[in-house]
Amino acid sequence: MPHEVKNRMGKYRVITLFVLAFVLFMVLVIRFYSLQIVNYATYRSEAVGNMLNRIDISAPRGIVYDRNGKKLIYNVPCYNIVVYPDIIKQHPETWEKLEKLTNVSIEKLKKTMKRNQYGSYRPAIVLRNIDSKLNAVINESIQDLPGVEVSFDPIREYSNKILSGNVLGYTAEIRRRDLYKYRNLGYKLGDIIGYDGIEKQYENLLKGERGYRYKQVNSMGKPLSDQAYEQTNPIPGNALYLTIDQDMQAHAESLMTDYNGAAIMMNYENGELVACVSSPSYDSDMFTEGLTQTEWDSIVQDKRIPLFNRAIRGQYPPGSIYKMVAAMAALEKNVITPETQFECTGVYDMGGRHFKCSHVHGIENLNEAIAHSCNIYFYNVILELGVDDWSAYAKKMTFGELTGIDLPGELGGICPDRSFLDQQYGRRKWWKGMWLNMVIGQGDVLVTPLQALRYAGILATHGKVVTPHLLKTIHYTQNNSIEKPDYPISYVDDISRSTWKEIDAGMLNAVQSNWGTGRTANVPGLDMYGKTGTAQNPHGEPHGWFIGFSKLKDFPYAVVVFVEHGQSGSDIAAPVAGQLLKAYYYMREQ
Amino acid sequence: MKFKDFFSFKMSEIDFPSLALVFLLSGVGLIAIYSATSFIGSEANMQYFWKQIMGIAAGLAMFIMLYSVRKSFLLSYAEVLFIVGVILIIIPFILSTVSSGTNRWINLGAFQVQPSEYMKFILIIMLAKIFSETHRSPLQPGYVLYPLGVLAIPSILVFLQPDLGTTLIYIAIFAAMLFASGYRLYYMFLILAPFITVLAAFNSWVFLVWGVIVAVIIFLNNKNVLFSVGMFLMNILVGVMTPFFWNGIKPYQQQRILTMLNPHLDPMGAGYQVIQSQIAIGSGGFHGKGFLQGTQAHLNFLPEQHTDFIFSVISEEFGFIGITLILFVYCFLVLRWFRMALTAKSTFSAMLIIGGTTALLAHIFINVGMTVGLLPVTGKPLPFISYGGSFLMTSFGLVGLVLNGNAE
Repeated sequence: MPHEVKNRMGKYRVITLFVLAFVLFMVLVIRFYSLQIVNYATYRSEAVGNMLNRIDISAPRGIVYDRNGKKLIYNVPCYNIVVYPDIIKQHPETWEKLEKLTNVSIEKLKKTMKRNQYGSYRPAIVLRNIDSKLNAVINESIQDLPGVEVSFDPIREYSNKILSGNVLGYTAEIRRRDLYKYRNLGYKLGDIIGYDGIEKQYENLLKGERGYRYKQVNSMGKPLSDQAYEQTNPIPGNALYLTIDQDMQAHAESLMTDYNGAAIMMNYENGELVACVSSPSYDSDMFTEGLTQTEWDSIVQDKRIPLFNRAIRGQYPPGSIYKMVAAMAALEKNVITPETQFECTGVYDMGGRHFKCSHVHGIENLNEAIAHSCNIYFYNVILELGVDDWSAYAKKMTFGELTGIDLPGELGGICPDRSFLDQQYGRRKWWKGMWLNMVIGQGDVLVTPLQALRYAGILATHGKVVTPHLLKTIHYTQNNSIEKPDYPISYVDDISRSTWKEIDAGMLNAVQSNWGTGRTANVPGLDMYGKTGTAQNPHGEPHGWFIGFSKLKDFPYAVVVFVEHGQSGSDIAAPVAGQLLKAYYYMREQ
Repeated sequence: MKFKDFFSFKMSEIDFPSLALVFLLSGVGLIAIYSATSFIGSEANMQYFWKQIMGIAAGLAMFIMLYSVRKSFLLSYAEVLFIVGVILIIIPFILSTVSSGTNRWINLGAFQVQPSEYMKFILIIMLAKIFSETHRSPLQPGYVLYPLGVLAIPSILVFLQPDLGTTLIYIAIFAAMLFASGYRLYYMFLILAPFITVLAAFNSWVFLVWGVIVAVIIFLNNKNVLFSVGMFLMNILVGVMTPFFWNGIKPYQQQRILTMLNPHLDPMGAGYQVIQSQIAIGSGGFHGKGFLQGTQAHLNFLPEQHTDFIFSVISEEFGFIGITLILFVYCFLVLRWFRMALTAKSTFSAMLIIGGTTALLAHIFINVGMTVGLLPVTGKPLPFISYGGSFLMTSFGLVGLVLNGNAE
């Protein structure tokens, strides 16, 4: 037998194995210590993340009121039919029942489901915004419709007293191409976001904070019960009070319905806009319910361009309302005195070209020239004054710069000066004849109605430059506090009293004398001042302008009315302006 | 020949503490399987629980058989057993060319047989016989050749199945028994060195340092200059060839190897199991989430949770305390058995003990190492605890061999 009945195994070898085994176990224990004790928090949160499915609860957007607390934008429930893809798959006959109840074809329902589907276990919308009748029908037969539910979302509704899509804006599901810039702010596909107007401008204040409901799910994402495991409630958006007066806005809209143009009224002491109308406008509600292609086409192809906010984006030649710039500059630079006279023969020759006036005004002083809106007086003024001083005063009147209104997309117009002419036409390639156009608010001069209004405010206050705005106060939902935003105010303080008085006198006569061009705007008792403008343009009839204000101590309101192709300032613009101021004066009295 | 010539059941010599602890672990396994097979939203699936109890009974039978088998019988028939075992491993290869399927199983209708499992016993018996023979000296380098051949045949076959895990178990059994046999450490180093060289070759600095270590060890231990230089150059050659081999294989093969080494490279694929397992373990914390409270297990995030990843379920529900206790029991058993090798009556008995204990230790370490992400996923179950009758029979059988070695 080759095997000894004796154990020859080396003691130390066995002990080595013994120790090695112990070391291996210690390695495992240390590893467990590292996983379960040292890194416990990390793994615990990963396990929690694994088992919970986060479902968003959308926050209701903030409500928007007018200055008197009337609701301009609010939320209403919108009922949608949703299906659970995993359940309805097991009950295909449900589709036929749904088709019968809704009168929408199965293919269309399924197509909508596919578009809104995220996984098999999350409800997907098949029909949006159903009426209350269908809602009741569905709820009655819900027992026979496995996998079907009626869900509701808050959607935006806009006051039907006004039609001010340009001011209020609209909300819609975020567009795919906008998503990349909003993703960092937490937006996701399917989220509602403000487009245009107040909805866009104050998106951050209005949107609120979405809440979350956590549901326990298995590794396939299937919820295990209906109960929420944990819930964070959404925080509704903040309420905004606008400076707009709904009734005034509605009145301005009604006065402007027949015209393309803008009508804005502002408290010139603080910049609050009481009415801000761009005509025509659009109904914001159309967008929230989801536009059909034909609706969209009809808006986009409308020749009157309702989506275009003329009040802040329309840049037009201002015509004669610009003449006070030259008058101020000439008086301040002592080029003329109030008594300086020029003769108007109805036409002015320069370099072989005829520059016309509306009438033959004869010999006039400054006051008469403003009230009559004589062009030839100002041709003489600009030739003596020169373009540099003139443009310096135009800039003092803040032309060429944004007013800073709290609406998206404002444009700044053009305030031409020497360097502008050099750039536009080349050095020494332009001639003084261009000045003659510019001084009467033609040629290269472009202003927005809002700029014209601020200009009116500066004239009314003798130099106070306010920031026109729409937001009066913010009412925060989270702590019930109220914030009144500050808007910058500055002063043009290097214009002498006597000059202001001359300008005032001109504008007074333009409205309150029975020979002024703006007399159609006059409202007795309102101490009205104003100036018409009639701007020639290559597209057709001249544009009509009127800027004006009341000098009553307790009624510090300025108004601008601009009417595209409105013949002349005195025909349409001035009467509308007068009616606006009058209406608001009595509205306030009540 | 009578039955008694082959078997003798010596009740009194059974090491009862070992058996008691093995049954304790089996009980833990039953609890864990109950937990691992009940999911939230559905009834607990008792089918696995009852099958596991039957598996434990079958394991007990296997224990009694291998505990009772006479060592004289094993010594006489070791080679026969080995040849039969190798043939059984080859059979699935031949069958699989006929019917599709894996190369691991022989299907006997009612149940399946996995010959590579039984080869563990046979390999231990065969190597125990070889290492207890006295006519070869463990001080000679050639001592290793015959046992190495015995290891190589089943290892290569099993590796081709492919079953890397079992191959590693075979190698671990062999290495421990070779070491225990008193084979010169220097020779073992020479066998091991080329494998380390392959790993070292991926970094030139590590390769340089390793080359110096190899050179120093070889020249300090060997007076035959030609042999030493040859050995050294062989290692260098292996190292130099490694990058060529690595760049020669296809990118997806490289990827598979890299993922095996670092599961986070492929979090939704091969790495998913390991990551989810680590989340389960880590989220268990100090005292665990409680019985049936493991979210990873009950929401079905854990893969293979009643078999290969059963330890993750236990870790999640019973925490660091529970795990430490179980590891302590395993450690206690392994150390107790290794100690038995010192008091065994013969070298053969001691070798059986070393082989059986190492096989169990290797299984434990490979399985637990896998669930904690220390070792690649090889799909090896945990002795006594994982679900599966076949492997319970292996585990209990190995205990039978160990206690058999301890008896008499």
